[in-house]
Amino acid sequence: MNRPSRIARTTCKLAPALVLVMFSLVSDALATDKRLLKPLPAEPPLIPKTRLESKNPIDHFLAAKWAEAGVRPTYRCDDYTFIRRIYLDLAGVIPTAEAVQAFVKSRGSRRREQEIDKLLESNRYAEHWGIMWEDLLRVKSRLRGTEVNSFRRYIQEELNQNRPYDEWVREMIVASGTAQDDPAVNFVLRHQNDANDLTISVTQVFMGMQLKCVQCHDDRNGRFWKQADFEGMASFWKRTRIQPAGKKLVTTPQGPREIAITKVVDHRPSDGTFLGHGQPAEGAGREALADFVTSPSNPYFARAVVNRIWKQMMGSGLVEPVDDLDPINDASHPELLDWLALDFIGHGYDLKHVIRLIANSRAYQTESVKFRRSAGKRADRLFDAMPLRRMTAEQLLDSILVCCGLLNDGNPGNRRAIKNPYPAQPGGFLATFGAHDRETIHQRDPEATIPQALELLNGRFINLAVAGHDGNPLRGWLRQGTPVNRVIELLYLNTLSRKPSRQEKSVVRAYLKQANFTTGWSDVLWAVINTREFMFVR
Amino acid sequence: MPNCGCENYEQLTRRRFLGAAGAFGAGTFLGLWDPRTLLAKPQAGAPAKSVILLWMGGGQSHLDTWDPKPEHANGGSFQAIQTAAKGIRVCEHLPRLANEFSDISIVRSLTNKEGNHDRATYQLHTGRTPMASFQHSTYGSVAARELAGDSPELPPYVTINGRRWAAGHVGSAHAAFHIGSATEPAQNLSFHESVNSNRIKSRLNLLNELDKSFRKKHEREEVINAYAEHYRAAYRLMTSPASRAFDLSEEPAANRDWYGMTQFGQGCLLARRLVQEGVRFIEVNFGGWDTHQENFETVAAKCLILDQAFSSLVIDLRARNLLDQTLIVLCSEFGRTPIINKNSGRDHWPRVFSAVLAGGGIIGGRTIGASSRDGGEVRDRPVQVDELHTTICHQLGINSRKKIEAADSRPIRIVERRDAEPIKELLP
Repeated sequence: MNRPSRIARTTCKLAPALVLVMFSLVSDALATDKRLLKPLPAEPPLIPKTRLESKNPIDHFLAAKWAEAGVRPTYRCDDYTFIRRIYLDLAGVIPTAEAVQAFVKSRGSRRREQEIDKLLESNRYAEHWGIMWEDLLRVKSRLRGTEVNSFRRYIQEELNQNRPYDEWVREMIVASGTAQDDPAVNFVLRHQNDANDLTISVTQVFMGMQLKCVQCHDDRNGRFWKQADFEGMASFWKRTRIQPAGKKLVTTPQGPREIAITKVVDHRPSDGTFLGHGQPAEGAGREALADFVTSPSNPYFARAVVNRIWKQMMGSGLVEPVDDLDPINDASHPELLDWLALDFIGHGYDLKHVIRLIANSRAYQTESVKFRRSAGKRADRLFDAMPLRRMTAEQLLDSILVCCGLLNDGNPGNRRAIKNPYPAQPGGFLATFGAHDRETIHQRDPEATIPQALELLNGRFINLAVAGHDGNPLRGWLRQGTPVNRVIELLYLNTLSRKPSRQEKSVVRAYLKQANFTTGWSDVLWAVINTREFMFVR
Repeated sequence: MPNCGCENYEQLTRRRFLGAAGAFGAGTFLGLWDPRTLLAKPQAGAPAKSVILLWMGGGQSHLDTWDPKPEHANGGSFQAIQTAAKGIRVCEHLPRLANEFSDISIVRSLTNKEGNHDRATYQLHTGRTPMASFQHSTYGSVAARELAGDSPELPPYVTINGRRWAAGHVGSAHAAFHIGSATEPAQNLSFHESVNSNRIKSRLNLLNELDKSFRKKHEREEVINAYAEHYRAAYRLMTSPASRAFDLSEEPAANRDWYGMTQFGQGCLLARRLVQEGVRFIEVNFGGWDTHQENFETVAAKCLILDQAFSSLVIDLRARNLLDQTLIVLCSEFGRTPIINKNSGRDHWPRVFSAVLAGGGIIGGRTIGASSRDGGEVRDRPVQVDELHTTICHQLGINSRKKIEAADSRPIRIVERRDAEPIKELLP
């Protein structure tokens, strides 16, 4: 064997040192900044081995914590509960009596899985999840220079086609021209080209970071972001302009109308600095910003969106608040969050994949009853029982429309939520139940209020819905001479997605006996819709 | 004991159709507006019975309204006019209000550090900086808890237009009754044409029966119980003649016009009607003051609405002998930068801004404190935000040093700073 040359030998000796130096440079760049989240690990975290019977990795991450905390998850929910929950979470509406019965009667070990796939392929999926994205992007129906409907259609299409999330976000950040050329440009138009506002959206919506304080001052809450960091990110938008781009004829209910349209142009590429990366990216423009945001090495991007999806389905985020990903704000299950984020990236930023994975987990399918634990307070965010979640304004509206047979998109009073202008009309049904105002980026407030009770107790909408109109399924059942007990059963399946108990049946029968025949049935429908059980996703 | 009170509305009806009265036990009204537990607790000797907060959302430009600087370049294009109070001038776009200054005082040296809308709005309403994990109550909810209202049927705390506040640490029984649109405040209060009182009662009884098993299963869930309270409260509102206070159509048309047919104008009129019924705390929201661009056009247009509504409110309350017992407070989350930006706008400026107070036993016709000549700093007598809160508590007879126990057992002092004092220059 030849002896290595002197130079080679020297290099060999030096190599480890060099590698060390280079490594520390790289890791410096990533970890210099203690203010940033740790990068995602190169390899997905090991899935803990637990005794839980499940093929779904999510369950094992959770089960490891259950074991530590000495809790057991509630039992797996029954088919009735499952079908209602999955309809509300994936399609934003309760299932009809037929859908419930068909599912319960179906056989096969993969029935739940198939139901999940079916719902994810329906248009209802995009309509329901579109609301969340519209809230986040603050899509408004009336805003100077934006074509809202094209923004809404664009979001619907992205979701329906399940376009890779990173591409979708990149598209919105870099888009130029008019909304007709490229509907993604509505993102910039929505922000009226305000560099600060755009930066808040980019960091808070896409990266789950809270930087709104440092827009005006250095952070004082122990996170140490500087106003200059914010300005560095905002600089990427400083040379983007909105300009008039002629007029366009649109059809409105009042007839054709000319509206001024605008376009987005970059005077020249902007410079900016990336959060925590110090180095200015000279003339790199919005492309560079999009690269930075959607890069797999961005520790925020994937984590932020899987955490949002998790919250949407499980009631609270792995990190709470969902838009406060920060090294000093620990995740309840850090390994699970990382695993989900890497899995999401590995599957090409497939949003439906994450939803499907969560929906199929044992944890998602737990019963919503909590075990009574003898000792002390239960630990937070163990995800050992599905929490009760009040239906969103949209879920509630659409569910009432469906179970009362009133749905009619052509009628402003009876159209499904997504067909309404936003922000919702103040004092109207959607606003009363907490529809988003689309002003600031915030979580909706699910609080119970008196006007909500008034709306369901005495509102015009609810009274019309339960009345004996043609679409009311009660009318059909009664006209066919269905026996009373069966009508009660159908009514329960169509509203609460379950069969009535014997006691409930006898209460209803007793009520009907003393009431007028038709108004009596309306009253029963009214009462069932007014139960807490109807209003909550359980 | 079941937490929903629906079963108690009309036990007889239920007995009639179920014939099993004994099985359900005797329920009692618990919680919200229970005539036994929530009787009005007027504070002996307290000057004010009610508060009307006129909230100028977005950050009202103090320099173009209450603290004009026409002699300085920062003052912008508006002129100042003399008010009825000697030596006090306000912006030229507030002429009607200027006549009422014998009853109005201005604090011109309010000072704060928070320049972010959400955080500052939260702070001005609750006296605390926002925390991700804890929701503090607004002073409206605190007043509702401490004093309740005069009417057992009407909610003691009503917010009109704008933001709906969560109840926070004092508990959901004291949450604001929020009216999304002042021009349609009476929504769902009168029976829908398809039902009458008997039908509603029998529906409620049926509901109570059908709701039982679920409520029992989830009896520990606070939100489930909150709905029970709110259904009870809603029923009381629907069936009480007092709820006519919400019906602006009872008001003569000329009176409605006098306040202005705007959301804010009608909101002020509604506030007056609610004060008459003994509602304790009313907030009327008037947003859109965030004038980063075209400050002067916007402020002039908004002042037109503000001037009409605010002056009518003062005159109307005075004519009804209610002004002395009704404290009107106008404020905003912060002021705006003295220097006019390149878009002829002004940006956020918490360092010095103004609040306006009238009625409720405070002295009118005064200014408290002053800003510097250029309008950028406090020159004289800085007034902290919590002094404003302490003043409100003081006038209502609420002990601002008292601690209220939150649901998680944390004792929360009504005004955080122990030594915060009311603004004594406003007190007789």
